[in-house]
Amino acid sequence: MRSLTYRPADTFLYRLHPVTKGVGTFLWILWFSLHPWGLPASLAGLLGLLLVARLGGVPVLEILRELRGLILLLIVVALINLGGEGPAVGWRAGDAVVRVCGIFLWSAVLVTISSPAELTHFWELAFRPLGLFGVAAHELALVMVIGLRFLPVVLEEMERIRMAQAARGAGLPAGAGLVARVHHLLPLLIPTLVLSIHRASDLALAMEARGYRLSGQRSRYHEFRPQAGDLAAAFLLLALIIGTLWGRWPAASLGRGL
Amino acid sequence: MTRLTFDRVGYRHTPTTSPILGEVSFSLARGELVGLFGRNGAGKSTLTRLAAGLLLPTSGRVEVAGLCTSTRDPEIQRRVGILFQEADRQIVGVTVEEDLAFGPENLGMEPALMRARVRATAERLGLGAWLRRPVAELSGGMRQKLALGGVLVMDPDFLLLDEPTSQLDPWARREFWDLLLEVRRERGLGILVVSPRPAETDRLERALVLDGGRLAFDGPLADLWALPEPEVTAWGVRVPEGIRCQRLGFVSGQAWGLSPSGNPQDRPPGQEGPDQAGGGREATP
Repeated sequence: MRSLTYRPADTFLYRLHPVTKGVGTFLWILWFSLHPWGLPASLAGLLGLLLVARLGGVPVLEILRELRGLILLLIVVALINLGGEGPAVGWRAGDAVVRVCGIFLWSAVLVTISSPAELTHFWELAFRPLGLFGVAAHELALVMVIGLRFLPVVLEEMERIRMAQAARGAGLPAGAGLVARVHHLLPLLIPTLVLSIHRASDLALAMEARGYRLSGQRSRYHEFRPQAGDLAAAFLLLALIIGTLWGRWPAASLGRGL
Repeated sequence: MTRLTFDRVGYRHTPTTSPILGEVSFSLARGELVGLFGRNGAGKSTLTRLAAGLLLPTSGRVEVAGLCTSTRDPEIQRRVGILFQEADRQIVGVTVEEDLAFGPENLGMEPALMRARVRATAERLGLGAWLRRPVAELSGGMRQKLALGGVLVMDPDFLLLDEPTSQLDPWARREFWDLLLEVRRERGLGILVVSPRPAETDRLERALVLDGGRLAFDGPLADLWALPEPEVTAWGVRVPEGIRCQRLGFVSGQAWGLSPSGNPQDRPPGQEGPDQAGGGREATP
């Protein structure tokens, strides 16, 4: 998952307001989860998504490569759907797999086109209702952003520990099965966890040294203003989601239900 | 004059543990460049954290420009910047500009002023072209500069550097020091360097030595080098080879290709000799 990080660029996708990007992703996931038109629509949606991402300057091939990490999940999803009854089980399984891929890919695109400041801004807004229950939205958003910042670093450290262990003869034998691989991960987790805790402690100290206070009044380096592109994107996404809801629960059946 | 003052400062983690620092008193003025020496566990890191207001003394007072650190005034963090050993561990932002802006955001700085400061600091440190780039793409030396920028952007009066060049190669180390001295000249910063390398000591004006949590020495660097070597070594201070050569009678240091300061960078071209910096263990570009 190393390439899943912000890649600065200046295209129409990158210029969208953080709220448009975040809500757009949510609606897109909703569409992939709910649409009633089966495999052709899922495939069309996936291709459309890839096209938009490519036109928007996103390194699509690199993101597609990250799908390798999901193979196990995709196999499980396919097997569950193949076990069902009725005609066209294969189509249904294929549809489910494409939907999962679509949801993952768009989430990856969101991370690629959104700077941490944009993500913080969006998550802060998204978490604001939790303030009613005493949850600090900014802190929660910052935790998520720091998680994103240090994910590649932690993975790098894990790889270093793995190599150090392999150099001392604790490597994974060739052709090892799934259970052996999972078993092999365990000795990596403890040192990685310890290192991460040390790193978190140092970072907390450094943040405090740079004036970070939980209750402090902060200003913002980035100011986000909606533009015409946001309006167009919002209109398209809303049309898509209303169309989907209409297709899934037509007004007639809704009326009958009432 | 603006000063950072320790007045009989003591510190212990808990009331039952032995003290890490006891009755430490000294003062650092703006514009001074001071080295802090001592063995491992002598209390150097604790002293820097107390100076930055990250720890509060269990006895005595630490004051920054008249502000006592126990007030927890955010102005203390503005006035005292601290740079830790590993730059990578104090970089919060994913991109260069976001990391530079982290401190000013916390201070509630006005956005237009903040943007101007971030740009100016990045330009000053040679990171202007990297503003929008992810931190992951920077080299070790550039990350160290970014960490320094994250502190300088808050316009501090004092800079505390905890072994700032320990992770850098000799070239990056020299570049970092040159930059630091330029910035000090421009802004009149008071700088406290923890455990400077022997090759870097000729840049210092004054030395503080901690021994077992107490201040064993506070004075001009020349006075420290004038003390008997076993005494200095017992405090965990390595005497630079240049100084040792001078003591042995090579007063000008020319027999070893050294400047009187003991800095091999000033060695006349063409002269070969043992590597004087850091007791022959460190390379100097």
